[in-house]
Amino acid sequence: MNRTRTIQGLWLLALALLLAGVLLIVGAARHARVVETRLIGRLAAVAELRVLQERAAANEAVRRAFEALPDESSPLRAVLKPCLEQAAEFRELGDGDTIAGWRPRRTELVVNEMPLADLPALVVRAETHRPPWRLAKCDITASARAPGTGRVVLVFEGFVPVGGSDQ
Amino acid sequence: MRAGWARECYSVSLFGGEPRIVWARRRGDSVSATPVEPDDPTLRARLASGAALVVGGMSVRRSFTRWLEAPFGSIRKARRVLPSILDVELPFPLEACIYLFPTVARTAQGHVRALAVAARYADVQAAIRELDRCGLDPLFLDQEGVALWTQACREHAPAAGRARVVVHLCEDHIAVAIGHGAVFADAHAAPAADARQLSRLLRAAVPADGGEVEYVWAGPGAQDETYVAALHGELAAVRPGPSHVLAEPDLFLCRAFATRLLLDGPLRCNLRTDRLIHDGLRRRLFRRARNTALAYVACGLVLCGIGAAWRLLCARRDRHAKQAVVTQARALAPRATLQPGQELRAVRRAVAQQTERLRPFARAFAPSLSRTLVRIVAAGKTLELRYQALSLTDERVTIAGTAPDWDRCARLLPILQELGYTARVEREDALADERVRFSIAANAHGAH
Repeated sequence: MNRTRTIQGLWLLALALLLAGVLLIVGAARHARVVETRLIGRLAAVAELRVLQERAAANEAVRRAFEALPDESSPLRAVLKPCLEQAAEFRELGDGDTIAGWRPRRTELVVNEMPLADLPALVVRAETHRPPWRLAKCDITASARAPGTGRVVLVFEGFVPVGGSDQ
Repeated sequence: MRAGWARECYSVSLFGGEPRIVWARRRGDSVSATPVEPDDPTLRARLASGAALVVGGMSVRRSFTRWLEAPFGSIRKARRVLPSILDVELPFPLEACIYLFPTVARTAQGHVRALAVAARYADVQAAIRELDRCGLDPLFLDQEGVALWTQACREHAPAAGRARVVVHLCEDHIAVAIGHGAVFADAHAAPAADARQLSRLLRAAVPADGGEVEYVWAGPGAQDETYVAALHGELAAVRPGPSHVLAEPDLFLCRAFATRLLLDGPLRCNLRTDRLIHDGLRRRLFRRARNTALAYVACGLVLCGIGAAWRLLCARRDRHAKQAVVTQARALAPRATLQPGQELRAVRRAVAQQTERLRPFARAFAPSLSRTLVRIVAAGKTLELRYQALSLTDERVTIAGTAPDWDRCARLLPILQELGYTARVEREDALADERVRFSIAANAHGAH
C-alpha cells in the first residue's frame, strides 16, 4: 500500500508540477507581451533621449565656445565709432541671462542721414568683432531729399563680459 | 507477459514431480536453450543470489482457456464486462481465480472477442509450492496450453486454413492444444496414453468436414516413435492428417516458456500475478512506475523552470531598458528630480530650458542677416531697382520700391526663396516716372 501511495503521490506531484509549469509558461507569455509593449516604448524613449543628447551637446558646445573666448569685449559704440561720421544714437534694448561669464545684449543704432553705401562696411565691422555683434534687424528708409542716403535703424546682438561697461 | 529487460532465463517444467530445466538465452530474434541439471552449481549460486530469472507454467490440468465474446464494438467497454462474462462461465467464483485476457480483438461482426486464461488461486499457489520444493521461485507462470500452441507455430509453421493439434506427451498426462491455421482454439488434458479420450476431444473440437488435421508432437513421450505412431494412428482414424515430431521434444515445453518470456509474440501471459505476484517483479514494476512518475515530475520541473526563467529574463530586459532610460535621463538632466515614468518629460523640459537660455548665444553662430542684406542690395543694383524702404529680420522681409518694368521686381522672389523666405509681390502701374511701384512681403519658411 505504501508503494501505491508513493506512486500516487508522485503522480499527483507530477500533475501539480506540469500544471504549475503550464501556468507559469502561459503567465510568462502574457508578461512577455506586456514587457514587449513597454520595451517598444522605452526604445522610443532612448531614441528621443539620443536626439535630446545631441541637442544638449550642441548647447554645451555653444557654452564652451563662449567659455573659451578671452574675457574682453568692446561695446558696440566703441566698435562702430570709427565707421560713423554722422550723428548716431545708440540705445541698449536689454540684456539676457548670463552664461559662461557672458551676457547677451541687444543694441539699437539709429542714423538719420546715412550714406547707404557705407552700410555694408559698418555691418562687417560689427560682425567681425570677437565676440561678434550680429545684425538682428535692419530698417532702411530712403531719403527723398538726398538720393543714396536714408534713415537706418539697425539692431545688433552681441555679448558683454559679466561686469563689463554698458556702452 | 514478456520480460523485456531480460536476455536470459531459467525455464522449468515438472514431469512427475521432477524438474526439467533449461537455461535460455536471447540472441536477436532467436532463443537458444541448454538443458541444466537441477543441482547445477551455477544455477544454485544464481538462485541463491537472486540473480536467476525463473519461468514456469501452469499445467492444462490446473488451468484453462476460454474464448469469450462481448456484444460491444468498443474494446474499452468490452474489457469492463469481460470478467463478468467469464464469471458466468465458471463453476466457481471469479474472485477465487487469477485471470488474464492476453488477446482482445474486434470481430468482423463488430463484437469483441477475447481469450481468457485463468487458474484458481489455490492451484497457482500449489504450483508455486511445488517449484519451491525444487528450490525454484518463478517470477512468471505461463499457461501450458497457449505455450504449446505458440511455440509449435514458431518451430513448425502451420498451414493456413488447416486444423492443427499440438500434442504434448508426458508420463502422467497428455496436454493438447487445438486450433486452425495459426489461431489458437482450446487446450485440454487427457490421461496418459488415453487415445480414446483424445479422439473424443478431437471429434468435439474439429468438425468432420474440416479437412485434414495436422498433428504436431512434443514432450518426453514424443521421443518414442512407436508410441507416437500408435497414437497418431488412433487419432488419424478419426480425423486424418499428417504428423510431425518437433526437434528435442523433451525440452519443448521449457523452450516454449523461455521463448515466450524472452521474445515478443501472441498470447503472452503470467498467471503469477495479483496477490501472488513475485516480490522481485513487484519491485521492478514499482520501480518502473516510480521512474515514469519521476520522469513526469522532471518534465513538470523543467516546464516550471522554463516559465520562471522566461519571466525572469523578460523582467531583466525590462529592468535594463528602464535603467538605460533613467541613466541617460540623469546624465542629461542631473539637477532635475526624475519621477519614475516621467524621466523623458523631465529631460525634455530641462533641455528645452537650456536651449531657450542659450538661444541668443547659439544665434551668434547662425548665418547673419547681413548676408540677406548684401544679397538684396546687390540684386537691387543688378535689376536697377530703387528701394524706398527695406526692413529685415530673421523672420520677415519687406521691401518697397520701384522697378524699371513689370518683371524685374519679381526676380527678387527666387533670391528671397534661396535665402529662406517665401515672398509675395504686389505691383502698381507705372506713373509719370515710368517706373513700376512694387512691394514685397516675405516670411521665413515655417514662419507665419
